[in-house]
Amino acid sequence: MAIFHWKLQRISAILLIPIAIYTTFYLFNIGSLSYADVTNDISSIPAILLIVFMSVILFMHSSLGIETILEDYIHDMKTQSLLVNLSKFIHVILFLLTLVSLIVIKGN
Amino acid sequence: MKNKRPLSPHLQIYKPQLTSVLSITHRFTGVVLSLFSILIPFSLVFISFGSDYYQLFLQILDHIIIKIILIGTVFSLAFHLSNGVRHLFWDMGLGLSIKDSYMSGYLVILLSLVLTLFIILKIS
Repeated sequence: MAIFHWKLQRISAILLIPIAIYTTFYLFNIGSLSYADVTNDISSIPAILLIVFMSVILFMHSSLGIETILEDYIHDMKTQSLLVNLSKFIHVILFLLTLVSLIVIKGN
Repeated sequence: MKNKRPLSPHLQIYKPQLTSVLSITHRFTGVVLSLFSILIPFSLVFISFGSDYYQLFLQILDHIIIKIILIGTVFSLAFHLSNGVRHLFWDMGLGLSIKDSYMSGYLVILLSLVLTLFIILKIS
């Protein structure tokens, strides 16, 4: 399990390099885009699939990282597993929020 | 915990040096980025609520305090990204000597400062 965690963390890290750069530049440029531009950009099927894929990678990498930190610094096993599960739950919620918003934007 | 010996990583008793400081900064910036990853669903929720909410979102982003916080986040991203690449090289067994680790460490600091500066100039 630990080796799987290790590999998954590295694979998601590599995939996140282009994703992080692209998303940051897009977000910093968002001020110059109109509402129609933005909704147009994110409501095509390829764009939705790309954002969903990127969020899966992002939230997985984030969740694995937080898990590693909690395992290293929280020594009480009960508290540790509670916090790890809470973190995983929050990451799933953030992903679902992304998914639902995209569906709503597509529907509008 | 029955015995009270310090457990790894012993941050309180470890003499700070470039390598260890960069290592803990990698973790710290990772946590910062985890917190700010909420911006992705957050911005999409605002967009899904319609044009008025999108304008509100832009106004929030334009606030000077938010801008300063975002610059901190950009620094975290630039650092975590470049130091992450350094880690990936280590995982391949490259640049593991003390001399190389220090050189790549200084390179990471330089690169993250330059990238942050670039973004600041772009948005101001």
